[in-house]
Amino acid sequence: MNTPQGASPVTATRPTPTPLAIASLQPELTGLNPDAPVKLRAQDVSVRYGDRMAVRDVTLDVREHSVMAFIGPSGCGKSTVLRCFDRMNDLIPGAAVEGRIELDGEDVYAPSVLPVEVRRKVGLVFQRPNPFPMSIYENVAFGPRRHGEQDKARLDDVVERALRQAALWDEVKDDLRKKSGLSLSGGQQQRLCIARTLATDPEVILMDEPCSALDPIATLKIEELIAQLKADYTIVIVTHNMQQAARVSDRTAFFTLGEDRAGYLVELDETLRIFTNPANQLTEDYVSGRFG
Amino acid sequence: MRRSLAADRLATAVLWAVAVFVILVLVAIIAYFVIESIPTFSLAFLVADPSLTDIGGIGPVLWNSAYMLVLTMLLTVPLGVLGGIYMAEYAGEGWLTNAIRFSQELISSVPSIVVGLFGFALFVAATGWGFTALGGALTLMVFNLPLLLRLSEQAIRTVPADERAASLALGATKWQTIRHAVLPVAIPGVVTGIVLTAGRVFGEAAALLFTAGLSTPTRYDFSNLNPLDPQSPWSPFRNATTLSVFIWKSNSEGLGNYVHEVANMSSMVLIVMVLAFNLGSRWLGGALQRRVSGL
Ligand SMILES: Nc1ncnc2c1ncn2[C@@H]1O[C@H](COP(=O)(O)OP(=O)(O)OP(=O)(O)O)[C@@H](O)[C@H]1O
Ligand SMILES: [Mg+2]
Repeated sequence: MNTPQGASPVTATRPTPTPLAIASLQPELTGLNPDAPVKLRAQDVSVRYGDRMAVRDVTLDVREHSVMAFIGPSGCGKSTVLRCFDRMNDLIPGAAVEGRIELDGEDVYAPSVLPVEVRRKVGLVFQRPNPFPMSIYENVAFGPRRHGEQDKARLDDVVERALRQAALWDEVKDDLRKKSGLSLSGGQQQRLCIARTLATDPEVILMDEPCSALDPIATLKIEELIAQLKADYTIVIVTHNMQQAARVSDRTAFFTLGEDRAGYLVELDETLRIFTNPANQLTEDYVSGRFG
Repeated sequence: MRRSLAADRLATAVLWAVAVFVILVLVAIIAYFVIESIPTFSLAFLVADPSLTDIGGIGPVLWNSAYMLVLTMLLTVPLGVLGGIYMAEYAGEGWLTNAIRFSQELISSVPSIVVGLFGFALFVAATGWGFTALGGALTLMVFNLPLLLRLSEQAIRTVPADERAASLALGATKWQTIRHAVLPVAIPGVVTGIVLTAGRVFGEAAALLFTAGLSTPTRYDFSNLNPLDPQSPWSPFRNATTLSVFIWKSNSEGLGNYVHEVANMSSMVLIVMVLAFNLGSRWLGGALQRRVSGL
């Protein structure tokens, strides 16, 4: 499911787009609106772990209210680039980020910027669901509480809204405080983690393979969720699932490993083009499953 | 295949035999003291004053043991737990951290009688306090603090990195992360450490011989609340012979008509209490674990 093998360039759930179909897509509705402001920008970003270059010279823009997918073979630095946007690389000893990362045009790595401030605006959903060993309610209320919200009624509100957004409310509303987040199924846990992130009211949501541990039904729910969230948030999602990238994203960035074993960005374009008519042969090979 | 199976069986059998042997020794010790104590034991023994002519009791020394326990833990727990947090979360790798680790190991291998002599020099002689409960508690702290530090550091370190990352990614500060994501998970381990340390305080004799004093106390007046009066049972500046020291003393001095019975019964009480501490710490740790995991 997670390998590109067998993934046809265009998915079964989506009819093969003719040039006409592409032309008729409305940019405002697909998140391809060229007038939308740039929310995230990476400029000549290279990251090394110790003396090993993990990914080099990445330059890309993510526009507001759009979904960008990162695809590429394992180890090419997708997670690494993703973690630059909320400064989670700071947690890794030896990690060094060069280049410039911008959020709303401001340098995220400027000395005056606290990582905490960045992370309050940029939420991250991890690859492996990692709820806290606390009740469902406390999991979702964790972020707002740390940001200073103490009013019980407002917290209740935030928790309910976030759980509804994450399509989990109906399944858990009767035991919000009785059940531990860890007692949920994997798919529910991942939606709980998404709800937990939504509750902090971020502007950007980064998702690192959010569906890799999920069954197809849970995956579908998350994909529907992403489609809805786009209206209010800017989303970057890493995925190994070609169909998923094709279904949820407006633009797709393809990374691969260079000769020097450091990852780099090969091509970034509208998702439809990446999957139907990419400019680079490497991209073509990867999305059509011919990648080694 | 066949050989590894045989080796596996043999290993199982050996381990099983060792385990049974250890349990038997433990049971034998407890059984010995229980059987020896039964003919003379009564609940009055737990509260009465010691006596040279009669069986008497261990009321005051039990009180002292409890008092020393509370006093030592008041001194040790805050420092030990905060130090554990520091060592696990803030101290990077450096000469200071290494020095702390090294002294932790060193102190835990120093015999407690030596620690007792050190305590005598510092808290009895140098301060001019004489034999006091406070001096004893400070001496106990010398080797309990490194132990508790180590145990809490370990408990905090076992919290998965995921927990921290999740909290930080939600925009929590480092301290908020420690306080609200790490500690709730580490608490059972920390509590287990605290109770184990407490058990050691209760059982320790050698370190207290020259620090908390050897005199056999009688007739405590619990209405005397003056904390500076050496006669008050509440005062830290008084002689405080604990139960284990009392056992050592009765046995070595051999004074009194019922030395043998008193020593046996006191030992039984001590063993039962230390055992209770150890079992209690397991139970408490388990219960807290269930509690923080929400169910
Ligand atoms: N914490 C780390 N410490 C050291 N090296 C790391 C660390 N995380 C990643 N790397 C290295 O950086 C490179 C890129 O890793 P990264 O996790 O970003 O790849 P990825 O594209 O997300 O791969 P995958 O698809 O398998 O998740 C890899 O070579 C990896 O070994
Ligand atoms: Mg990854």
